[in-house]
Amino acid sequence: MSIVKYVDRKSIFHSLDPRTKIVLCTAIMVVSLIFNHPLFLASTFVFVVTLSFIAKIHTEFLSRIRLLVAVVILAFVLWTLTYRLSLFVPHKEVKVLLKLGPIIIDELSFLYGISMPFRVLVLIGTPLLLFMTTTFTDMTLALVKLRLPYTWAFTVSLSLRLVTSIFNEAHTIRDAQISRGLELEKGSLLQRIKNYIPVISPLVSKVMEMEDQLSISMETKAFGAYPKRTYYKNLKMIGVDIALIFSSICLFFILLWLRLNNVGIIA
Amino acid sequence: MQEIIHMENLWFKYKTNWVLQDINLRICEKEFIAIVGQNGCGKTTLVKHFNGLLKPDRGSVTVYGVDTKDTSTAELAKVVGYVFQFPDSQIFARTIYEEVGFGPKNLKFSDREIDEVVHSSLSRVGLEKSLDTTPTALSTGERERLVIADVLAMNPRVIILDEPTTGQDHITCHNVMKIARDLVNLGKTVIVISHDMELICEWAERVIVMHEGRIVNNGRPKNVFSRFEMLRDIGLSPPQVSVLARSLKFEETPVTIDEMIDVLLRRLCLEHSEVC
Amino acid sequence: MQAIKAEGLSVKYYMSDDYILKNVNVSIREGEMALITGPSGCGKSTLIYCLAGIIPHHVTVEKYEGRVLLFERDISKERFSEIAKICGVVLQNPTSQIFGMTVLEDLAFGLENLCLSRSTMEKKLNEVLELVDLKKYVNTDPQDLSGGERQRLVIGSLLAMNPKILFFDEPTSNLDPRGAKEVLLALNRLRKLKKTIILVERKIQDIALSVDRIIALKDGSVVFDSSPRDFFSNMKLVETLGVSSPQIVRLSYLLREKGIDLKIPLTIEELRKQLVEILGEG
Repeated sequence: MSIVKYVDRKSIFHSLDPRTKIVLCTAIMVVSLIFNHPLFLASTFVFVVTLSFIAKIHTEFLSRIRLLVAVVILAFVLWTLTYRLSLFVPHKEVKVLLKLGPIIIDELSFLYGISMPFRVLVLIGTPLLLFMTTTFTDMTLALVKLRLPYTWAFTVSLSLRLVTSIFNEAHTIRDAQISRGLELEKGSLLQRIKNYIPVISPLVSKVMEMEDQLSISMETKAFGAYPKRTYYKNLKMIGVDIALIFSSICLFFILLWLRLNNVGIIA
Repeated sequence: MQEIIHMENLWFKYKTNWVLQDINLRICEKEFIAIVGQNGCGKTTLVKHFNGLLKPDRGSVTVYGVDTKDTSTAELAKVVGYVFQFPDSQIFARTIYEEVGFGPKNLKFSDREIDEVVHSSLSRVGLEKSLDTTPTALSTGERERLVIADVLAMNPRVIILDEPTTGQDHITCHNVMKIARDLVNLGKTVIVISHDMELICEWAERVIVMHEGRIVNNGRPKNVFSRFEMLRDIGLSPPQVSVLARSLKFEETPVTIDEMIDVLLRRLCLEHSEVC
Repeated sequence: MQAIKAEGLSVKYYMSDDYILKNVNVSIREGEMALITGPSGCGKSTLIYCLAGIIPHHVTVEKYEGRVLLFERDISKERFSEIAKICGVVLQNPTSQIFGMTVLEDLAFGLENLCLSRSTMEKKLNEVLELVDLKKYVNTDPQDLSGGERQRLVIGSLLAMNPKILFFDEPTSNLDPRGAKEVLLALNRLRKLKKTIILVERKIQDIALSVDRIIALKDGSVVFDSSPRDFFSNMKLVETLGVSSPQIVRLSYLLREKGIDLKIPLTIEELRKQLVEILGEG
């Protein structure tokens, strides 16, 4: 949960309208999907990292991205080894680089093997950048302005809160039962599942109690009293936002045109 | 008295905060200790080191001669019992027998031993008649006593009670403290975390006061609770009788009702002989 | 006008054998501060839930007899959202009632739900921040606040909605002494604003002195309904209720048994004055 936590800084990026950030991030993610050349994808990722520097959150951003190291390596290995088996990619005659028994690694597989990890990094890093620079409330406001029903956004934020509370409670219950001699990691798989009953059982009751309290609490704050609601904070697009959205869209179409002319893909 | 828990230069960090700072503490057997302090001062963090749930970042914690760094909580559960604050976070079984028998079962007691300890610990907390009921049918006060029985059944030598009186009525508070006192008389060590200053003064023999991760006072209730300025600085209040005695400009500071009565009667005897 | 009236209220939950509330009649005036107390299981939380309309609107019960009148209107016939505009309910666990990511956002949450204009919200927020003394925490994440501060935040957020009546279900039971003191201070401020306050508490030593009335329940029936002084003059009743009385009250009773003539005090100062006379202090 703390991976997507907002990091408060005074940066130009933070002060952008959340809608601008959403548009920008969506554009970056789509770009990463339409190109597959390692150079393009690597530059896209570098661009995202640069944004994190502009947002002054580069330290936290990079340390959270570092958690993806295992995923990245896995992506590289998987793509390199299985590219030849893929049904969607045209097989052309290319130079074979390595042969490990039945597994063949050629030039194309190698190139794909390098690009895919970058794509993964962009697809995960961009939303991460977004969440780290936008408070949940601002996101909710942006989505509401973009015509998403408030209840949906509110439900998501509530779920996140509830999940955090459930984790905390589970931790306490686990501690209490361990203090009674429970050894959770002992025994066969079946035994281990059974070991968790003294943790799950009180947790379930607690969760139901929490849900109950939550719904009463929402009613005490007149949630749903009227079909509409007003908002205290106001989102305002200023010059920078409009300029940025405009340039993002322009750049996007330029890139799209390039792509349609077969630039940036592995031939 | 034999020293059983020794904390030396203990420092503990949670994320980037030092939650416990330079704790040095010795606890002997048969002590009845209360730990007090504002929420967030580190009381629960401190006691979680007694049964190995938390391990020190610096310094050491030794329990019955064993360094907790090298021992698992399940292993330490044989000597240190920890009753958590909310009974509903522990109670899981469908019958009281299964519930109380859970701890001993984990500690590999034989069936006969389990039977013995279940009966004896329920009896000790006054719930022997509830053996056939389900835990959900018990009242709040009875549930509190049930979780104490859960831990007693494991026959620990040290028992930690984390806020056993919070949210409980007067009668349960008294029952819980009486059970604690009986356990001390039987040779066990009891450590209670509580916010109820008046209750602590009445029952505990030693009070450890914590503030912002440090131990700021450690002594008999009478000594600790007569230090009004120290208490005020950390947001705690002395018992009403102490405040009363101070306002009457008495030299000594009684901390319980009985002590106050003694002091008053002595004063009256000195002034008005007809009362004596 | 009576702010809240319960007439012949009897309630039974689905899983129980017996009625939790039996023919309860209480009547609370506007501007009063009443304390409902009693042993575990006596029905105090149920009573407060009925008075606040949570029963029957939010919690269904097997039997609901009698009625509850909120400013002469039958509560079971009103929409709960209408009731929420008049009644604010502070539950035991402050965290469950906090919805904002910052103090300011949370205080504004209820106001947004009530569709207030931005300028009205601005005014109310400033008032409330002052009242509950959270001005310096305006942009703080509620998770970083102490228990007492969180409870004050909840009180503030409900207060901003301008309720006439505020209900508190054991507001200090999960708090440390300082937190409890902060809540008591807030309650006294609410009193000065002429709000009607009804609270349920078990540890009544500190709060009992500030309330106008104590209503004691036992086994679902009202066994006492009068002033705190009358309450503590009846020690036998206090003991059977399992309710803790202030230490000085218990002290006074014991001194009386020893032959010292005392009026039962409610504050330390009252007892001090009496003892000064008795000890013949010069």
